[in-house]
Amino acid sequence: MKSGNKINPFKTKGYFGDFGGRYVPEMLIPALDELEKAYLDALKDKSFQQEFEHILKTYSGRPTPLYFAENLTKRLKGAKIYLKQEGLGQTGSHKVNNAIGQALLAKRMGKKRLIAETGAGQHGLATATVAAKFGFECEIFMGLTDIKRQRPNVFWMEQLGAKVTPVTTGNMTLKDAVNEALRNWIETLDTTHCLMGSVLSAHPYPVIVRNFQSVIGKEVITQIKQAEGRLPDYLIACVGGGSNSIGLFYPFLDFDNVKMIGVEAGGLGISTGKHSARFAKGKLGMIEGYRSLFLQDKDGRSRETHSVAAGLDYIGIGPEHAYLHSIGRVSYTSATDKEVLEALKLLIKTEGIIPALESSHALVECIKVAPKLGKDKVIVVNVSGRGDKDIFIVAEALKDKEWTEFLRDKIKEADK
Amino acid sequence: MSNSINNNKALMTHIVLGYPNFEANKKLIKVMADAGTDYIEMQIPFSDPIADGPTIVNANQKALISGTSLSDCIKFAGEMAAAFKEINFLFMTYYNIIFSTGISKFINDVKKKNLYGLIVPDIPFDEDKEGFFQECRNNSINPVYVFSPGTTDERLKKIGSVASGFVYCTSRVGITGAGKDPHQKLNSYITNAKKIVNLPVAVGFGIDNAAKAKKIAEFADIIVIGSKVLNIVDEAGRNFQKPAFKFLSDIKKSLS
Repeated sequence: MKSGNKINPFKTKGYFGDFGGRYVPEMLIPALDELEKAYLDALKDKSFQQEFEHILKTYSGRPTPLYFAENLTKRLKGAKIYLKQEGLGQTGSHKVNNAIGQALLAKRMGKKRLIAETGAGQHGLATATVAAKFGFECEIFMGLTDIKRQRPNVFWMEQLGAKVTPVTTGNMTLKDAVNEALRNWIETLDTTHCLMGSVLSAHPYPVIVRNFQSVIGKEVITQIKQAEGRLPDYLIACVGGGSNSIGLFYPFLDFDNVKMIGVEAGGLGISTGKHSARFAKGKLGMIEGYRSLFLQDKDGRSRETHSVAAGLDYIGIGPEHAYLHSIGRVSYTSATDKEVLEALKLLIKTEGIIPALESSHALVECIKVAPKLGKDKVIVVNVSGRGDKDIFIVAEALKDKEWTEFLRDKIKEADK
Repeated sequence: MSNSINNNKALMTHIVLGYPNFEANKKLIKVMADAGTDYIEMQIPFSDPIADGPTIVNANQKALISGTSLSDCIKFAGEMAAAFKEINFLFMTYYNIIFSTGISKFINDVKKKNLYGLIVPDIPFDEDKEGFFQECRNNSINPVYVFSPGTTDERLKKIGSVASGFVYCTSRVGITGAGKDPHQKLNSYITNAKKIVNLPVAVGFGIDNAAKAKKIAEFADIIVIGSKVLNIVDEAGRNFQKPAFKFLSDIKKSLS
């Protein structure tokens, strides 16, 4: 075991190497300072951690299982594959871990209202859920493109009492929702906590979200030791902003024998330009409040991105990932929309598990890596969410005629 | 170049370059000059303008869709600075545009076009790894720092040391946009801030009529009008010159 991979940004003014910081209007600085103070204060308070863990256990169903995917392993004829089943928690994805943690922080700060950005809607759903549970007013900002492709999540957010505000600027996806959430926050600082959903934006968000999500990796350490008596050889997770992957990776960073792979959205293929592969095509910059790699044009403006998975369809990468990439601790690759659909079908058929489109990116890499490894090797894949929410997209992509028929009938019924 | 910061308070206005097009920008700048505008912020459109409200966000987006490039903006700015020598022109934009070009190259380009300064709201002095503020000052380009009521005295001290020309305080904690009331203790906040930064203070955000402008000019040195002019231009369409002139000259009169 070696150290040096783990950074405490509270001691580095919010930087992970050259990445991170606070590239925000001066008027946000007091609010970020307040959040940092409240968080450091909560860290010293044992009852805060106890309450967090209690809610994760009793409300969200943690620990989530680490499942040995025996059928998939046999099929791929290589390394043993374990799936961390984050989709089995409350709201169906890992997003709820962070939402619970930040809701408890907001309560400590005396805030009455939660706002959040969302891409796939999973983080919006998690935020709306904790708002309902803890009694916060709630507003979710979501790009119009994403609202159109993730209607089921919008429906549930609204049922949970949240106001879902469509964002119609830019690409109308996650980055535009982040901008709008920040703008709304600037206008409502006194009453509102901005519940950032990923390890991005200005310090201290990346470290707070990472710490709340680290529960994933901590559980895996215990679970894999029980199952295999040792640590895994590989960890694989998808990377949008990077919260589920950092949650899995972080507790393992100092175990040098554990290799880690982050999988970005390759969209229609890197060469088409329609993707969200920041490590393949991103440049250093500062957009949306932090310094990291971003997909940008020659003048430094953010470029349009694409992915079949709304949760990965984003211009920037969390600063800690940019750092881990720069020191070579984690390697990053990408999976195309087409490969993702194949991986999704394979997991459903072999294991009876329906993964989210986002998480299916990690499976693509697992399918590539596992057969090349010996049967004594162990891979852990983070299935960060379940795929129920994707039924419209997947059914359309698979050109399922009966589904189309079903939709037509539903419309007819609704029109009556 | 004029510098009217004495008894008469100065007026700064704002345009988004390329919105709706450079021809209209030129006409609007002429109107602003005729109305006695002292400073004009020319915003280089950006994809993610997080400090801006709906009016300016919309203008940024349309300017980008119509293909406004950075080099177009720099060229246009040079033409305006040459044509309206009585006005101090500034670029307003977001830091990634400058960083992406390269700090030295960008500032050198701005210097060649005889601009007065730069307003970049998303580069707090703590994050200035590239030496942006220093490089501006070394080249006699004024870095105008934006802050708001709520910025602490300790930070104001640093702001006073990195900024030059003047500083820009928002009238309230919020994003740009017309029609909202200023911070309740704005007067005493600005009076205190002025002593600490030791520079003239511009106040903007939400100033949309002459009465408001006059009231804020009691303690501010420069009044900034942003979204309201854009609103007038958007509403009036092609015949924006007359209403825009009337609005701005009323404001200017209220400041003397």
